[in-house]
Amino acid sequence: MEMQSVTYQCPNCNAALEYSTNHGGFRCLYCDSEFGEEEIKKHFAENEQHRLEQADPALTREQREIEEFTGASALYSCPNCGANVICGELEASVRCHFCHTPVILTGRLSGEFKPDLIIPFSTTREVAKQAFKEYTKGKFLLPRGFKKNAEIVEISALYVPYWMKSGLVNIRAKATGKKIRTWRSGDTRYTNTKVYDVIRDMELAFIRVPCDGSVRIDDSLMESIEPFNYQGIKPFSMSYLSGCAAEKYDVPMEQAEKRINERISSACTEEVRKDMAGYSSVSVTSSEINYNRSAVVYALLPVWFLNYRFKGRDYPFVMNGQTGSRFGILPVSKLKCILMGAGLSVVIGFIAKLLGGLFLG
Amino acid sequence: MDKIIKTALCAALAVLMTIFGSALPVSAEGYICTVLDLSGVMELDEEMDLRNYLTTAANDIGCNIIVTYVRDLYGDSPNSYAQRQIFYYYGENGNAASLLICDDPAGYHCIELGGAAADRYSDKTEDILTEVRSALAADGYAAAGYKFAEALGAEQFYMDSTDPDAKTSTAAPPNRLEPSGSYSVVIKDTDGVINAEDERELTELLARAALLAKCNMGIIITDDLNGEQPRRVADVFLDEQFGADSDAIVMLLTADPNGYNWLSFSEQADINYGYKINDIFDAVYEGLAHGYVSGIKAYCAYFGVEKGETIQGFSVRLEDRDNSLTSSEEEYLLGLMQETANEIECNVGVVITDQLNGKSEKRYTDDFADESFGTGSDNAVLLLNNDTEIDYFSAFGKGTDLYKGYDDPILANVQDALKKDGFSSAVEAYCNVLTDIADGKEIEYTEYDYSINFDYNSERDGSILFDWVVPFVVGIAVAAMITAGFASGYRKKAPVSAKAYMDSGRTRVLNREDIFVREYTTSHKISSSSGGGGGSRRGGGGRSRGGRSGGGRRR
Repeated sequence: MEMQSVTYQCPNCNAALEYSTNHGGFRCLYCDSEFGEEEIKKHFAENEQHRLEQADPALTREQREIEEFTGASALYSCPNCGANVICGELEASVRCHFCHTPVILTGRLSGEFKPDLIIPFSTTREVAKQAFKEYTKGKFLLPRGFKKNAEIVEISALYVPYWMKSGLVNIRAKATGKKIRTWRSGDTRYTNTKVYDVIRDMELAFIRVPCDGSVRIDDSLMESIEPFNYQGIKPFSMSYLSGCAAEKYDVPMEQAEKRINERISSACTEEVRKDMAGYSSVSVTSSEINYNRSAVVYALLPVWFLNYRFKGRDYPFVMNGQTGSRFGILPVSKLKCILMGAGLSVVIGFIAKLLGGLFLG
Repeated sequence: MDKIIKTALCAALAVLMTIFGSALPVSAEGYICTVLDLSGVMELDEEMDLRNYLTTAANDIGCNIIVTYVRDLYGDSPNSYAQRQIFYYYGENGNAASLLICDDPAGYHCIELGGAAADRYSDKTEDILTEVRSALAADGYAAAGYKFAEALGAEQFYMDSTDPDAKTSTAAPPNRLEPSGSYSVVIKDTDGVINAEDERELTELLARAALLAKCNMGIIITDDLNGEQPRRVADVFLDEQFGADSDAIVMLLTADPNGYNWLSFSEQADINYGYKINDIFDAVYEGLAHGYVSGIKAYCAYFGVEKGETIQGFSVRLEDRDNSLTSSEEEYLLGLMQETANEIECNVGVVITDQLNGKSEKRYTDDFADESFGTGSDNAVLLLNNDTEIDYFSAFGKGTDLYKGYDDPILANVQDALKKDGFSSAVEAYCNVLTDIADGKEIEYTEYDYSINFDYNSERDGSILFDWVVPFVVGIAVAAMITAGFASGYRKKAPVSAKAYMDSGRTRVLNREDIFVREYTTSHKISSSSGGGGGSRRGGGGRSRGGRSGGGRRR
């Protein structure tokens, strides 16, 4: 079925507007006019809400399942050139294949899929490319010829769907703490051990702990470019999506919340252990975590995806579209590993021999 | 990035403060001293003067000081006692030096260190204790306390009784020890019960005993006390013969039916031997059963003068503490040792033991040499050690001149003989090799691959396995871990902790409980040597302690 779509058009010439990551405003692709965020939002404010309301009503779970089962994709008509274009089932913001006009699929952003928040992109494609080059510098285990032959296949800016949970957490932890002291008297060494039951009750506040809501995107990849700076977070507006790809979530909130709870639980345990100071050793025997208050929101967060190819194999590289934090999977040269290991073995072996000679006489 | 720089700077500052802070004698409250005179050996003002000095000294050297005088440990170990003083007064890891002057018959003087003091003085405790002992013997208890602080590095305030301008203590100091032992001996036989020849021999034995006991010695033999108390007779004799302030022991042997035998001690001799009076009399009475001469010989033997030993020429001492020799072997070997001593013109000693009592081989041998022949005498002493099986040879004075650098050939010959024919042959071989070296002959011996270390740090087997294979296996393992760590960074990055999203301003501790459950203490003996395997040697060779040389060798 055909999905409703919308484009943001230049107030001057009606050509497509694109959100510019350079200066955080909008630029007309045809007449190069530039408009501020507030200006465009105001201009399109009446329409935005109306469009979302008029958008296809949110599918029921049953209807969605039918769609997923049949591998249904959306068919939309480009508001600019009128072409009928098919897009992927998760895409919420695309470019028309024919006229390259940014098109926002309002149906994928309404109802339960309407994001609460968004962090707009603040880094450009060039910055992403440069980040990749800088990332590979100094990596001496890269195979020979990597820098010359690694080819960037694709760079894309994508708003990744995230679930974010905030909450006030109570943790009650019990542990066994030991204070150990030793001393020598004559030719006897004494060890005195005092054993304590250590109990801590703490209240901790967590603000928007994220978990990406996309099945296809590797969670560990996304976690490696955290944290996002929430000072730049804004209420969701479709206008930010113009010119960038966006996806809706396909990881239900309950599933994402489980992952977030695990992260919060680890952090709480770490914090509690920090408070159990003054012991030679601490062993946590039990811990109980309760949420006093919690709220989960759905947001779109900016990420640059860059795929590069080296010796016939594709490797991913991602960069935080707000902070520039980056991570990529790099190939490792086995030969260089062996050489490095051998060199280190020799050096460390000599040091061990010298130190052994010093201590053992 | 800022956080990283700040953390690095804090860490560097902490390291610098740890390195230099431990050398700074600074504390908000200053350093203090504790003087505990549990034996009542000092007058109050003497104790106060000592305490005042030690307080200044403690701040001078940057270390708390405890000096404890105790007569009875009630079965406690001196080292434990001294260590506990530090815990009680300055807490766990307290920066303190604790001296225990102990007159308990089963005890000994010792020094224990805590905290930073252990780092500074642990390798000097033996030397400090030697100085303290000398001061104690020369000038008394308070002097020992002053010397302790001085030896730790405080400004000198040692009461030198020979310096007329020096501050003197209220207690009359006994005579200062003469290093080579020039002590007086007197035998007064009022009734002529001993013939002249015996008296000459006994005088020589008594002179030897005086040297070993480090005090003057006198013996009165009389059948008639003329109604005087034995104590008075002995005390008057002591004052007349040696002086009221001298360090002396006088034994009164009387056949007067209204009297009894008596031992009079000067103040210092009383400290050293007073508590052994019953043991001395037991030995004397055993000898008296065979006559006065035997009784006096037994008296001399108690102080270390061995039966059959003469002091003509040079001395010998054979101490078999492990019952490895028969009586006849001992007699034979003493004769052989005496010939050797006369030939090489040097005292010769041999001690066989199976218990070093916590001492190092070197310390045990050196102490035996000092006890047997006196500090500073020419000697060559062999330790046959059945405890750790590291035999040791030590020489001093002329012994060093003759045998420096020869410890290995001497020990090799001794150990070869020991392995073949036992201890008697070992001592015989010892005497032969001493003579041969003194005559300039070439000595054949079995060389080892490694030499024994002077400090007796841990042993090594000296095999290729430990020298080369083990370090490189360790190197390979560590290198593999480092390389794997680097490589894994190319594929995975540690995820950001949720702590990055924590509002630390709203973190609250609602309840904090630390409930004591129980306490227990375990102990284990620290082995005196590590490693094993016969035939290994550690680096070392001839070395001296003010003229002393020596070396050890494992069997």
